[in-house]
Amino acid sequence: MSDPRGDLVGIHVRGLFGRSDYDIALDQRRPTVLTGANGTGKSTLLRIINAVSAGDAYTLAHAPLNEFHLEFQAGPDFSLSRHAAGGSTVRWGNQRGTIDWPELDSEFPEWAISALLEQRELSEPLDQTLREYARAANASFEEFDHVRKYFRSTRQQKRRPDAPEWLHTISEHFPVLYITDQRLIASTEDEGRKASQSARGITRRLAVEAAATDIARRIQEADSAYTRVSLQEDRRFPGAVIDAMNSGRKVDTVGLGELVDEVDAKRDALRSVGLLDSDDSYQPDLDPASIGPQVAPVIETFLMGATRKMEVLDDLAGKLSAFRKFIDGRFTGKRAILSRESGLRFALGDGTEIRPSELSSGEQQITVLAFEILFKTSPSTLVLVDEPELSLHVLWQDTLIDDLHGMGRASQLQFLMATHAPAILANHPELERSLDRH
Amino acid sequence: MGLAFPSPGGFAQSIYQRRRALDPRIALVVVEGTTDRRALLPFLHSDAIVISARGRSNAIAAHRRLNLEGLPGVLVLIDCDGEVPADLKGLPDLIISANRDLEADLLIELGALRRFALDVVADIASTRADAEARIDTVLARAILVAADLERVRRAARFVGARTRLIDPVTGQKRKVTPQDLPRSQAWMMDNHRPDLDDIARDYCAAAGWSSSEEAAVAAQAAVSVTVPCVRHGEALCTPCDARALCVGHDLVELVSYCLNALTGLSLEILEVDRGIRISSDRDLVARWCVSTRGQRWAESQGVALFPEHNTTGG
Repeated sequence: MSDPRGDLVGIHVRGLFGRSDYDIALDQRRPTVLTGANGTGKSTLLRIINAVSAGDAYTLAHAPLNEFHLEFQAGPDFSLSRHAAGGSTVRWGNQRGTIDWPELDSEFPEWAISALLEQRELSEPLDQTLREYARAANASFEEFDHVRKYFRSTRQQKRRPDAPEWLHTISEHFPVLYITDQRLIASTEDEGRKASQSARGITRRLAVEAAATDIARRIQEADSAYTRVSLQEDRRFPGAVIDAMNSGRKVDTVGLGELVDEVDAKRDALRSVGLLDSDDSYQPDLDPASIGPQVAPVIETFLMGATRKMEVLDDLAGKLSAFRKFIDGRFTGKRAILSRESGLRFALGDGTEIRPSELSSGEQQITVLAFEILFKTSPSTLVLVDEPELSLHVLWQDTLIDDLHGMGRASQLQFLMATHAPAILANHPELERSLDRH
Repeated sequence: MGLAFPSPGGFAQSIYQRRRALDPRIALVVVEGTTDRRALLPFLHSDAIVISARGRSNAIAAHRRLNLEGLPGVLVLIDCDGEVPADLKGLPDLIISANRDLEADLLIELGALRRFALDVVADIASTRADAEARIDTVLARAILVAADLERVRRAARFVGARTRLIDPVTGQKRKVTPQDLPRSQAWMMDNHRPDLDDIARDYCAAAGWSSSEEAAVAAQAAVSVTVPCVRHGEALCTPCDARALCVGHDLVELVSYCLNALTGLSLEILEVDRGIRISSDRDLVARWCVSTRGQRWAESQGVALFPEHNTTGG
């Protein structure tokens, strides 16, 4: 199947909430921004688009619309049509299938449906959620127990919606990052739980702290990769030196000087984003003019090896550098510190370090947005952002579209946002797609 | 429709918040529309912040609010295309464009349109004089069509007919522009002045007028061309039409049609728009009345409005 990455050009919806039809053209070069009164379907559309990419049959099965069509510039379109009798037909290019969700007991109480909607997955552990909803609804224990038993039985049967297998492969061709309006809380899988425990452990924590942990992990993984390449280079080094010495090739002094500078600059850049220790690697306080012709091939071989070692850090270094630059350019009186130990900390004017969780709500919001966009996307991902303006001062709202777009440009990310903030669009009215007119 | 501040007061509050939060040395400038913002930005200091008010009432409300709070440091630039309350005229921190809008200032006063167009046709013209002759023809025609289009707009306002349409892509209301009028390209390529009735007919189709509205607009527009200009006492006075009637963005659209036809290129309006922004003569900018008054304001406030090299004329 051809690859439609990054070129979603249109969203066509019929019968959203049983009343609204929309044909939304996406801007191909800049973020597209959905606006509309509460309840017009902005967030719902973002959720459904994300569900298409994620192969989330539950959300697609329950999408409150009759027809849904994603139009791509080059790749095959995706469409969903709801059947009057229940279930939906989905198409992706020439592939076709149906989604049927197991009917719930018709006597199912309203509070239990709400609990299910929150949990979204029949196979997830629901007891705690069910208990909370039952308590809030003053449900009897018998009713609670009936519902609990129903869910336990469905879990044992591993009941899933009947959906085509290809639905789960769409994300490979249509990657989507969905940044919700609940982005300050991150759900992460608890890897420490024993495999024998059937239920996955889902831990909820502050997203900025999760981001710090993630950055630390990425730096540590890059360290490991760097070490592997270093060992390879060190093994090759004696042979490479002998080859260079025997080749009789004369090393250009000017070129050697440039190489020294290049390695030096790269090493400084890597250190500045926490990727190399200050005492790590080669310290080239070298004046190329003072290097004799016999030693020059050795130095050159060494520097070439150092360059190759550092290349494995390039991708992460680019992201960390962009992240730090973005944060430091916006925060007042705080600067980001990146390290393999703690991932992300912030230094105050007096040098005191604080944790990301000690940032203001607006600072956390912008940190999470930047982190998600820079670290959680692959090239040409469609980034969906619900209410990017949350907690942001109007000055940050003014530049938000340009800021996000700037961060995503290198990876050719496409953006679709939903907002209620006039300041976000004040300078870009042409990017607005209003859902109010229907 | 479209997302907007619920009231001018809401916009004024947002400007107040910005000014309070900003370093006092950074200039905060409020303009009426996004095209004004795009026109102005290339000439300002890189730290200066320009906010589009999306409407004159918002811009004026912001000015009143800041003055009420005694909070200086905000410069409001408004277009010379309508009534300005008497108490706001002549204020140092409220500047009115020389032409109909700031963009028209840039295009006409600062010669940006001519300079850009000359660059575009340089490859197909036999000599510099040939290029200049071609471009002068294009510009004269664009001014003529843009002025007549504005006459029809004003006539529509006068008779109470709609002047805006719902953009099919953004879902927002916006002004009808040449791209919405099917014959606008033909008018630019013809050798005779377009008939006001034809413009009214195309406008009618775009804005959705009734036939009686169309007739009333055409009649009113016909009357307006007979009114002599104040400065020269002439009806259909080109210099005064350019100054008083031409909307900057209309000129850009109309000129881009001609440039494409002349050169065989397919420049999009946005590309032309961008090209024009970087084509203005910086010496002329320094002598532009908005620039000189703006610089005086900036010096009185201790803010950086223009880059150093741009303020010699101030």
